[in-house]
Amino acid sequence: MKKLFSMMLITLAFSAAASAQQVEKLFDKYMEDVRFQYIYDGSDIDRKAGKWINKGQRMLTLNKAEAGLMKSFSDEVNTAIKTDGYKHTTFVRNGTNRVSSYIKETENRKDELTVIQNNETHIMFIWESYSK
Amino acid sequence: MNGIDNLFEKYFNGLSSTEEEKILKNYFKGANVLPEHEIYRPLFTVFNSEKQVKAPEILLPEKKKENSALTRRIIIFATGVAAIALLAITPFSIIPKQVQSTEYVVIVNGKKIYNQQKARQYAESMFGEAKKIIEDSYQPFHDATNIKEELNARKILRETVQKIEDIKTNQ
Repeated sequence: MKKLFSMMLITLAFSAAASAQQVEKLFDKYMEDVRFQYIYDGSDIDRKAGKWINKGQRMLTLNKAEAGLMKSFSDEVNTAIKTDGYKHTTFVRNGTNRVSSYIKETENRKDELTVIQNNETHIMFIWESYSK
Repeated sequence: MNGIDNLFEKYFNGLSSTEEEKILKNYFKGANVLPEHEIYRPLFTVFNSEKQVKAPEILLPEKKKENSALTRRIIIFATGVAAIALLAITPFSIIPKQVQSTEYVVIVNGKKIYNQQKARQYAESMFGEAKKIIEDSYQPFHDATNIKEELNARKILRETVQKIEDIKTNQ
């Protein structure tokens, strides 16, 4: 019983670690894709923002793509956000734009995500990282 | 449109000439921009707003007819100091540029922008656009918060009581 319990704990820890970087994997997957734009801005890196230190911001944009790709990318983004355990903080629909913000904070790290979606024209996926 | 595609290719590889970049800028000023090229528009509209920075004119002091030996020595000494300072500063002014080269990574439709200045402008333009959409979206929320604060019953009552007190005191 003890053995089974420790096995379960190890499996749980492994699966948590494996799924902890789905957002990063998504950026890696599409950053060089010809259908996307990728931007990394590290100009404020190591600059203090309150108790946090800026670790750069990234943006992945899908612009004027076919509806099927828009839908599948949107689904991938939502799955990655859920799998990584982000907390949905705000949602605003203004005209045709929908803006969602997410946050994940641990003792030494904070990640903020913003998804700007306009189904007809674009999806902008922004990821800002901070550490202590 | 193969010509334009070739120019884009050269541009993203940092091989385009000023003349070729001008052609691309004019292309975006026109009405015949292909939909697949629209993605590059922010890059060229940003560059359109670039201003030519003109170096300020330097007024040189009039030459004095008589230059004493002491003045000459001071000039030689000052020139030497300036030259040493320039030599000392030059490596430091080069190093930050190398560090900056990793500050921005921009890949547009699979093409990496190698020119750091252009990458920075593109990044600033895109993040600026995103920031504007976010701010515009949250504006009704901020407006509602302001209205809520302005129409706070307790605050209004407190201010009215204060006004009555002030009138009474003045009488």
